[in-house]
Amino acid sequence: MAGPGVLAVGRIGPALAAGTPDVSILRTASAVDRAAVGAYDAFLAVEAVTAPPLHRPVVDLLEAARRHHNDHVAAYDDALAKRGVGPPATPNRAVAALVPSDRSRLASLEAVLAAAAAVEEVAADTFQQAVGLLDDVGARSLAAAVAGVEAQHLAVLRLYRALLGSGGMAVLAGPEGSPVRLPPATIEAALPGPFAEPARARPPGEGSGS
Amino acid sequence: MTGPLDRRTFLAAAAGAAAALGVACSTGGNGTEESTGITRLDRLDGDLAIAALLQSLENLAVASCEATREFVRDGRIEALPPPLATYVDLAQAHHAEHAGTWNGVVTSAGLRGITGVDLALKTRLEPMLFRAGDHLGVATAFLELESVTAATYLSAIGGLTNNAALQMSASIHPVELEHVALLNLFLGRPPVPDAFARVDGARPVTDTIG
Repeated sequence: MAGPGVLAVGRIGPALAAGTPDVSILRTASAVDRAAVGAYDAFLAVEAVTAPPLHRPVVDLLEAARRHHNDHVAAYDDALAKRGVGPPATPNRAVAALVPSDRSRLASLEAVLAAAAAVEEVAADTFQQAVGLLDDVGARSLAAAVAGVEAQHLAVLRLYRALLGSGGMAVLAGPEGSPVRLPPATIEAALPGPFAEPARARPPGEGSGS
Repeated sequence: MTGPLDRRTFLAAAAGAAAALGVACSTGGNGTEESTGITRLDRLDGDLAIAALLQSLENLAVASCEATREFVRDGRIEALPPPLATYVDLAQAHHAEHAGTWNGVVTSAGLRGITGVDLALKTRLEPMLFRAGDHLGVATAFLELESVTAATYLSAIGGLTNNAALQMSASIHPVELEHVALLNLFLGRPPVPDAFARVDGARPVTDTIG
């Protein structure tokens, strides 16, 4: 295995060629992250998120997750471009459909957190599945590096949902850098098990979807 | 995505991995442990060396959770606040499952299980726990442990050739990163600061286990 810092995450090796399954998997990954960016645009436009009582850590997470997904799209597209393949034309439809098109169903903070968790779960599972399918080591490492971050988004979203459900959002209101007094049940909600299972992964060759 | 996949289910996959690892492994030695109890990973080859390294890190994580409770009992560390105590319990359970899985891989390949820990990380971690004094020091020490472990998993994903072992790592890596996010949050830091998981700080297979 590579030593510390040797593995260059995001570098795609020469074994990757246009038309191989790896390219299909990467196009699907890009389409999924594109849908996630669109989803977070919708979440961040919801008044219950942006208006008082403002839960700053929640907004910070949603904004960070949107940036991260955008960075993931760029990394996947770069991997495709290096092989002479263009990005998917549209976001993955199945992931986009996880955000209610009827915005009245996305009017509460709980609805936003639930939809965001659903998006992150599918994204994390799709990229984890890709790790076991990609032939190219660089592409595989990229998918793993992205899957792990989606899992972090999901864990924190689960925690915030549990916090919201218990009426305990006030614990997030402390000054930055001070320890947060989280109820133990929220820790249990955020860490549901010892192994991640890609049960909700999109089909690897789905791309943008039909 | 983090599902109820239990150790038994996972060991079934591990058995497949072990069979392949056994074929691929040409240690030329008679196992992984010397009479001194010290194991040098560079006496193992390829995927098996990686599996041994990962198990040694999981062993260290379990031991660190146990040591923390002992320090609290002895009064060397103040009582942990409920969320951190819950975290330590959950993290220990997760790491024990991970260690058991890698142990299944190593022993199924006909070698003795790895009972030791990664000495390089232990040497760095021990003073952090001993001097922790309060729960913030404990959380900081665990953040170091989990970050290094997660980085090593990502590095391993770039180095493993056996697909079952690769999928195992891909299933554990997100869980270690969930631990990192929770500890960041507990410490009042941004829970998901980076768009990509990192390999910085990953332990190499040349580490000594003891």
